[in-house]
Amino acid sequence: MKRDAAFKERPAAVIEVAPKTWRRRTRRDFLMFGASALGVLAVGRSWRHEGWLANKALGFDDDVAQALYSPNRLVPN
Amino acid sequence: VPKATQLHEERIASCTPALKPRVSVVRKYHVLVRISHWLNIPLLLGLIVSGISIYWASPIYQHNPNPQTGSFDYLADAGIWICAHLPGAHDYANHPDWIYNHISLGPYMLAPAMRLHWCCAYLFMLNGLVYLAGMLLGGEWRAVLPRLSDARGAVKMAAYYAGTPLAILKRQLRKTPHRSTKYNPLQRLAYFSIPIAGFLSVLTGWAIHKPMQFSWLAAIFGGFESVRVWHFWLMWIFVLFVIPHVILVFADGWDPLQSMITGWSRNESRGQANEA
Repeated sequence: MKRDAAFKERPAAVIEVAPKTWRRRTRRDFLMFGASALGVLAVGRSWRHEGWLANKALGFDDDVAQALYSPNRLVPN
Repeated sequence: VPKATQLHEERIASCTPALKPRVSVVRKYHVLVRISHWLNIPLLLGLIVSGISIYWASPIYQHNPNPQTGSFDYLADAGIWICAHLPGAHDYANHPDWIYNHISLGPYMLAPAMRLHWCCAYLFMLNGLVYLAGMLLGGEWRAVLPRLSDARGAVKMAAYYAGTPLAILKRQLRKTPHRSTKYNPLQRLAYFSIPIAGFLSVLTGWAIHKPMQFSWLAAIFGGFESVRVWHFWLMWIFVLFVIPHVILVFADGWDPLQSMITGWSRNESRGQANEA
């Protein structure tokens, strides 16, 4: 029974806020969302022009490959 | 109105603070769930576009070369068909490349595509952990757990959605099937399955990317060639999920989109459930 209760969906609590607060928070969240979207777009553009993120990814992938290799491998790279 | 009563009412009015209007909302999504949700858009786009570029270099589904077109790839065949039937596409320079040139990074882009794919794949894995953390911290994982009654409910909801366009055309008012949970059975099925599909995509991706180190993983999926097939079709699960998901978000009004940005829902607080 206790286990069932742990998995059971809980009803969302209704919160009352002043309309002004609601509007302010909504505006803040939308502005943050827009700024984040612009940030992601900027990263996407830098991928095409500079490729630093691609090189970072390649370097990280190389580290992962190194970590996965057997320590007794014959080929050093 | 007697003078004494009027005075009494004025006193009450002056002592009782005016009832301020309030907005009722419910907290719907944890901030980590929202962040991971929106990050999935560029990540999945990058993964799909670069994945198709990689697929182009070595298609899974091949046939004997066509004597007329020389094509041996079913996706290239689809491009040839499109060029033959799509108005304005007859003059396209290379008909077999039509599909790939439109849904991948383009020709001679295999190396950049692989780099982009790995970059997005690592970020996708990280994003999956962010999503899991958000689901656990916000307690939202309980809402996506499937229930025994969901099979019938999911069929009912699918029939409801399928009938909606016709109802709109006929201008019929349809009542949304009642539910008392955050998601309807079809949503629960989808939101429970998609993270599993993501997890399988990651596993099959590792098996393809490191076939020596993870040969055991490829063996679980039936070998290297089979694991590529798994990876390819898992991509289509994402595509097939995203299309109705986006349509339903826009069909359902402002609240579902707003709640995925702000984390709060006004509809849900009024007992109106979102369908997207």
